[in-house]
Amino acid sequence: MRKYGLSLLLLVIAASWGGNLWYYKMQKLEQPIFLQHYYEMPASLFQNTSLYYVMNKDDLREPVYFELPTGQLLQVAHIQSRDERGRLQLKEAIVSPAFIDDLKQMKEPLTIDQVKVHYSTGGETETVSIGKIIVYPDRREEQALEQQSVHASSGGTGSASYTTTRDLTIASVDYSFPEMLQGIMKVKVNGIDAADAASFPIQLKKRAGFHVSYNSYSLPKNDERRFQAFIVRINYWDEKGDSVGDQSFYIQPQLYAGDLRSYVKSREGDDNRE
Amino acid sequence: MSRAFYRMSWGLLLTIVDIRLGFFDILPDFIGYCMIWSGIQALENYESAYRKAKPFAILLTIASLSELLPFWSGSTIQLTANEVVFSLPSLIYSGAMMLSLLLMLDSLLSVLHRHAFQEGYVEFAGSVRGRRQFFTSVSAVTLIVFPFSMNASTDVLLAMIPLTLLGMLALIIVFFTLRKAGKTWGYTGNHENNPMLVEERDTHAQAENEEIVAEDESVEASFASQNEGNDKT
Repeated sequence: MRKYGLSLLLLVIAASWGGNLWYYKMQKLEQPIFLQHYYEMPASLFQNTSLYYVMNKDDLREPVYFELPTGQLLQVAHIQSRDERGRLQLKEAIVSPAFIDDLKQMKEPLTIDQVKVHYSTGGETETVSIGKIIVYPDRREEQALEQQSVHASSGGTGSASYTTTRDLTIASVDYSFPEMLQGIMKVKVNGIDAADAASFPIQLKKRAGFHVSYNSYSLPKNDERRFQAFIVRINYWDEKGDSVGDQSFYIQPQLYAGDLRSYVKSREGDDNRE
Repeated sequence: MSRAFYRMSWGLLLTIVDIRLGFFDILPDFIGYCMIWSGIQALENYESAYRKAKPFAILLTIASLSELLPFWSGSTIQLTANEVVFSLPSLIYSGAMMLSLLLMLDSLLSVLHRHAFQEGYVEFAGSVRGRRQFFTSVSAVTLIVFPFSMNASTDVLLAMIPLTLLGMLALIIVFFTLRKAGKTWGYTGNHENNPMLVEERDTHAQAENEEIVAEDESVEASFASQNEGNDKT
């Protein structure tokens, strides 16, 4: 009886170890998987930008810097673990550009869709697709809208209040990556739906209040946009087609411990490397 | 014989207690397993069935040699503020050591139980049996849960802390069992002078014997034949 009991216990122990080791091996990643980032932001906000990636917890290499196709470098200032499950870990690298002077003097927007990752393990590099990052020059002209307050929540809602510095016509309001954010974003301007073209233009007298609120709705579980990072720019245009102001806000990737395995599986077929 | 049990108990204690200076354990497990191996070796002279535990003792002794070097200095599992860090080779090594310890002590206590019964220490035999079952159950559950640390979330890993404490308790109970065995066999001479010998053993013998036979007939038969030949004082 004792023999059978012990044999049964050993069998269960073997099954537990075998199963766990098999599952552990299944989660092996040859290279880190970078999330897709859709950022549109002013140069001043680019000083500390988050780039997310999934890698194995036992993988000792870390990105040290990212090289842009132009040869400019983004240095990794800090890396932190965001979430983990088993062998998989979601990490966040805070990067800052090593070309701040260039950014200050930039005239045209800088678009980044691929970076060469340099790892801490020496000469190892790989080129990866990271989505689309657009950095536009900081506004230098006189502000037509003076910001009074701004609120943002981690739940994807926020608002900003302004006062006009002159008489102003707001002809339209739009936001970045509309093709990606369609159905998620809702922007209201002085209580009017920004998507309702019939409500524009809005005439504003000098010193009038201007209020913008946004709501980014949570996505269904099977929507891959949940796992993408966004910095969205809401742009206010006048009747001449010039931007009179903007507001950037951040939508964090909703990638949590329970999603890591399925996310990696969904990205396994991606050809995001060169 | 008594000294062999005491030696094993001290050896086991050495394996339980870890006092480290950097990576170096000033009470190395290697010495503890050596003492257990030596104890089993000595017990074989009295009851050959104790040799069942010897291969595991040898394995543990040899394997624990590696702990003298900073080979396993990366902890099996480190619970830090934000993340769990562990090393797979270290985890597998710990699992193999736990399994060997389980098999060694289960064999040892199983033989001790039968041996004590054969010698007439019925109450002690009963207590050894209960303690063996407790140790084996706790160790087996720990071994089943342990590999989940590779894939489970931190919350699941935190649940292993009480299990680890229970495992320590089981080992301490085995330590005291070996001490008691040493004390029991420490009374040399006439059994009648030994207070551990329970007077009503004859009345319980029948029922207990049936259980033992059911558990492992071959070992029982071996004891019977050995006892016939032995002339113990």
